[in-house]
Amino acid sequence: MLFAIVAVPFFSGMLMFLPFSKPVRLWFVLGAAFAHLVFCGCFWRSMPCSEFNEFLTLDPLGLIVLSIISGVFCLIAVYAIGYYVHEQRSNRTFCACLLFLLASMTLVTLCNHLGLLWVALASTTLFAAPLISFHRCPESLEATWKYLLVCSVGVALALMGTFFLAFAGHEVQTLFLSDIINGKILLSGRWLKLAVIFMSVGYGCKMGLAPMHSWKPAAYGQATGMVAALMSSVVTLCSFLAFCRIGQICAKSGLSDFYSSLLFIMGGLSLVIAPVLILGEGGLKRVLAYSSVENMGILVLGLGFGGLGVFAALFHMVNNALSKAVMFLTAGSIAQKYGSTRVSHVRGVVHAYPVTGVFLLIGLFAGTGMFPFATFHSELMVINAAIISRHYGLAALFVASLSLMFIGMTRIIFEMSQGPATAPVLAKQENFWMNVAIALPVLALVILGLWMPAPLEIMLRKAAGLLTPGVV
Amino acid sequence: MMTTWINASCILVVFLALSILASYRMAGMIHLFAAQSLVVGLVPLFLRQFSLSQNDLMIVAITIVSKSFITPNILFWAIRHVPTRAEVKPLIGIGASLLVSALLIAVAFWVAASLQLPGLSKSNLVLPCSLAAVLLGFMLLVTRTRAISQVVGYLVMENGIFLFALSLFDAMPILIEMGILLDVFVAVFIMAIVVNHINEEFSRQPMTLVRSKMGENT
Amino acid sequence: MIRFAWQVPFGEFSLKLDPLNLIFLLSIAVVTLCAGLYAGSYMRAYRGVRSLAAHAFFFSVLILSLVLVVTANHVLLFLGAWELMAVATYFLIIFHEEKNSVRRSGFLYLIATHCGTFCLLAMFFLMAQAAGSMDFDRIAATAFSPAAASVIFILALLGFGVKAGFFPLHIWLPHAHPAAPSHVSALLSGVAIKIGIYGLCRIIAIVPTLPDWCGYFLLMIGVVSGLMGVLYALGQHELKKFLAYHSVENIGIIALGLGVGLLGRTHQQPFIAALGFAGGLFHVLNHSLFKALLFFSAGAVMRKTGTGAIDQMGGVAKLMPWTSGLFLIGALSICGLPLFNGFVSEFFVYFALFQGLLLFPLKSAAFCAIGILSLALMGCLALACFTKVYGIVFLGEARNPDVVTSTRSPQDRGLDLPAGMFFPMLVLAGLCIWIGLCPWFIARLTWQAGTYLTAVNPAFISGQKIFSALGQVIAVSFGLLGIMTMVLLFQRIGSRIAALPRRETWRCGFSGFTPRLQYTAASFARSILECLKTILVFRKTGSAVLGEFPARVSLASGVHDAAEDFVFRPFYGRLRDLAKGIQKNRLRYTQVYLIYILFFLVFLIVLKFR
Repeated sequence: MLFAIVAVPFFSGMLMFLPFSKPVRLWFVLGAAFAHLVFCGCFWRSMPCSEFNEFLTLDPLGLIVLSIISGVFCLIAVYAIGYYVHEQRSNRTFCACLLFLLASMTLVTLCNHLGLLWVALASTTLFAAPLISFHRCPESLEATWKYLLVCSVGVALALMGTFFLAFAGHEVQTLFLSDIINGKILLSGRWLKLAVIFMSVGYGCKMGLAPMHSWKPAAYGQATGMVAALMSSVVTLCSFLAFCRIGQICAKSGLSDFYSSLLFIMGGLSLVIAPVLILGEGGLKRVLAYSSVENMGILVLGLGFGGLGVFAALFHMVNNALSKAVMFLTAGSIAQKYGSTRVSHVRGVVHAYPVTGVFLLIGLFAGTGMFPFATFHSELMVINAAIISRHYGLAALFVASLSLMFIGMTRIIFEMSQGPATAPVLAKQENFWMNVAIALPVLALVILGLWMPAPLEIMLRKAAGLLTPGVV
Repeated sequence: MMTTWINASCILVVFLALSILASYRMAGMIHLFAAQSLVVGLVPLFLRQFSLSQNDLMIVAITIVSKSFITPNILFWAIRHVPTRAEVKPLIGIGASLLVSALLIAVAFWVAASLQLPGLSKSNLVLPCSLAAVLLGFMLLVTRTRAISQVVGYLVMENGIFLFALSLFDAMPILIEMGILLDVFVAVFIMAIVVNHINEEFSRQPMTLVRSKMGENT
Repeated sequence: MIRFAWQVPFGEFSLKLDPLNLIFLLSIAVVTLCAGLYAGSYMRAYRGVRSLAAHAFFFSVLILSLVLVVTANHVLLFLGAWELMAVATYFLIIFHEEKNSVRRSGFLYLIATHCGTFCLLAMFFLMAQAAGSMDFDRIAATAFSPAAASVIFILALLGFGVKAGFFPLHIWLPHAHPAAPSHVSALLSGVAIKIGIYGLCRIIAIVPTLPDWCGYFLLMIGVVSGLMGVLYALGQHELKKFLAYHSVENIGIIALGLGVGLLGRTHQQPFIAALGFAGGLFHVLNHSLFKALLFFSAGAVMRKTGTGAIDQMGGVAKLMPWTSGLFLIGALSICGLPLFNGFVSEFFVYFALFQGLLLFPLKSAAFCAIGILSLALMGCLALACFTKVYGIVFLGEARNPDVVTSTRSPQDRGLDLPAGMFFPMLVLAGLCIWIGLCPWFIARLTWQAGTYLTAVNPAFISGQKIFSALGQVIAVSFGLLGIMTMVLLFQRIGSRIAALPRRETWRCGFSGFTPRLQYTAASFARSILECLKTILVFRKTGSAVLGEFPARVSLASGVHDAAEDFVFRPFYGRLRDLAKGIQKNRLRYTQVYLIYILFFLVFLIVLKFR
């Protein structure tokens, strides 16, 4: 079963190189996404057991991340069907890379071996790169290159860290997560600390934490809406999963405080840098990229607080994925209609395209944590966790950062959505598939904000229990 | 005996990295990188004192073939359209860069010594040399403007990491080793494709020095 | 009390009705009902021109969230409804979003209220952490240390003060009110800012052991807000902005009452405490009524004349007799003159202050004296303001004949404004007069709320003193009413005997008369404003008139809002310059990013490997 869920997208990706027509490929992608979703559903019903000599295994944390990946991927697939109505370019590389990316992300969630985890994460970097340079213009190529370089360097650092970790074992050197967690292997000492530092910095590069965040504005700014949505929602989640695994190792080896302080430094820096840089921006996708940096900081801080903070961070994982999907997909719609997402070119979207304009506003409020959306609860819980664990300074920093971020985002989104409408350059109609793809996560966010289904809550608690004792 | 061979390969790796830094012709850089990969690939031989099982021999063979032969060929393919194989003037002159490299090597040795990490009984030089190789590769990445030089820098970093891994581990699961190799291979592949696109787009411009305007098209 | 489980992490849906939120619910109910009726006619002009459905949707959401906020008994529910209320109000304000100024004002409002909300988040979570629960009842049962209570109160002042419009945090008010359509301005002033006061009262109720300085501070805030509000109002020449600053003043009066109440609580004087709180809460209700009335009349006038600039109007009373009458009732109420409701609530506050002067120790008595003086000053200045506005807008002759023309539309039915707009205003005016002449019902309700806030068993506090005093005052008012009616009757009878001719307004004997020779708003207010030039940042630009045959000159004068122009705007400007500077100057080469990463790695190693 576990092998199947990785194999299906991978082989579908290989099939993409056959000469199909554009719509057929897109429906194929959608089919693969549905199959993935079905597998996921089966896993919720009953957890599968380990395969491949314990290399692949599924625990509650992995299951949650897997479901998010699956859900967002389906949305992207639906959206792509609508997007390609107006696109002339061939979608062969696009579909192939999408499916390979899905396969490698799935592999990340199933890994029980840290080396395999590295392999999967490195592949996500590699398969995401061609997706960024979708339009082959100089700026996007430069953005792709920036992304490739920074993330590859990060991933190389993480590889070093992984080797240091293996070396940290006393009698036996192993990289099997389950062995480390079950206490069969003891890790200790300076090698472990060095390993944790290298791995955090390395996977932090991939996640986009400050000060390793600089590729994000360029990459998300140049990528089309779908790709940016995929990357900010789920690819960053995979690196967060790696952070969680490191957290598990540290908890078992008694280095929780050490790791928490690392997380506070990185998270705090992200919360400080992102709002300051957002105030001077003029493009919607770049603004959303900085928002993504900040949300990654929130996730990491939540992880560092422990207890309630971990539960909050996991819930925020889900909400952030959904809200970023909404925002980036809407940005993609706007880009396709107006040819750009800069404030100087786009005004009055609510009047010209009511549905897209409304989605833009909903996305703004969902992303900044307004009431009926689930992000309200998760952000509040992280602040609560900060206060409960007596990190008052961080709580104050958090609040200030959220305010500044709110100002930065509302300024640009209100300017774009209201006021006298500029004529859309490409004057297209609203597309049904694209709107459905955006409406579904909005609905999910509202539902989650008002009512959390019991299975989700149980799974979140189980996952949080893996990472920290004493979940409320 | 084993230690001597391992020490020798470590030093050779660092020396080759230094030479890559000192060279300005891309062809030269790629050839030197191939030599370095060869040295790194031979380390398991020294480790096992030349008594190898079927599996290990296969690993060594695959490593050497992919990193010393196939990868350089891919890199040459990526720059086939570039008329002059010379590097455009780098950010730091050759004298300064050699000086900085020497400094970085010293830093690597100092760090390795001051970290006081236990268990490095097999060889004293492994950690400092691999750190040095990583730092030198990093410096290559940072100080060169041609995309292909940056790819070579990345690959030198990977070599440094591999040196560390291969020297200190008796056994690593084959699957993982293959996986890592495969990843590096695919990385090079994709980077080469991107470099190809870049070269097509930019024809002659040195790419990463372009101060882009803060905009994007879509 | 309704309470049921809400399937959200740490959430619980519990609502509670107690004497405190009864007052607020009453004012919400009355004002939103009237605003809804008013909006029906007011928005008729826009039917078909733009979508009214969104506006109606947000109106309903606003009412829902107002009710939820006021009755919420759980932290998450309160915060959720609070945010919903802020967003709904924003969308209502930017109805005319094609205008740049409207968008900017709405944005300022949203930012201000959101920043306040974050202070509230911090405050509520601190309280929840100390109490171990998010339920208001259980938080109320915890004992807070003086340091914790101080921090809570400061955060509450910041968070709720932005919403309420206390002095330095009020900067969004004067921009949001003119930008919004009139019924939304009425809702803002009448109800939305009162929710800020509600929050403060709820904190006062939950934390009975606030330290001493809170009372003094709240009193001083009341004094400063009230005085600055009315002084700024004096310098305004736009109708709705003028009314907005008066809201700031009245919030000051409410804060004054609440401050006296807090002082009473600290000095163990339950009667004064209950009286101060009751006065503040009574003024909450009254202010919603007469402010809504004023905004509705202003809306009617602006709809007829097409502008809000006072200096363009004049003689509107001849054109719109009913509207001017209702405006007059509102104006008299807000100035606190007898026979109207403003007087009764200010009487409560005065009584509390005087009792405090007599019974408190020296320091607090001094504060009470300051309070009395400033309240009196506020009353006088408010009278001056409204004399100016009423005189210049309604009396005299039209200064700009294009603006003040008579166009009677067929559906007006003999009134000077649509019936749908007239009846809510009539209801509000009626309520003002009823509370002014017969305040017993509402007075008892507010007394109950006041005693609830003192956290002392109500049986031990007797309202006898105040109700008997009130009775005497009402009796005098009736006497006054009787005398006035007699005078009017005599005049009527007298004019029936000898008919008086009707002429145009007396022009003070000028021969070459143009309506422009009348007082302008600026000139009327100038004498007072120039005395207080420095505090009010009153600036005049232009030159004086020289010589016997003077050249053409121009003169402009205005009052600059100190908080806005000297504190907030420079700060925000500096932040934006910083961001732009960083943006322009940072190196964007990939190589530099990689060096950052290396440095960070080294930094961490050095830090963590000591």
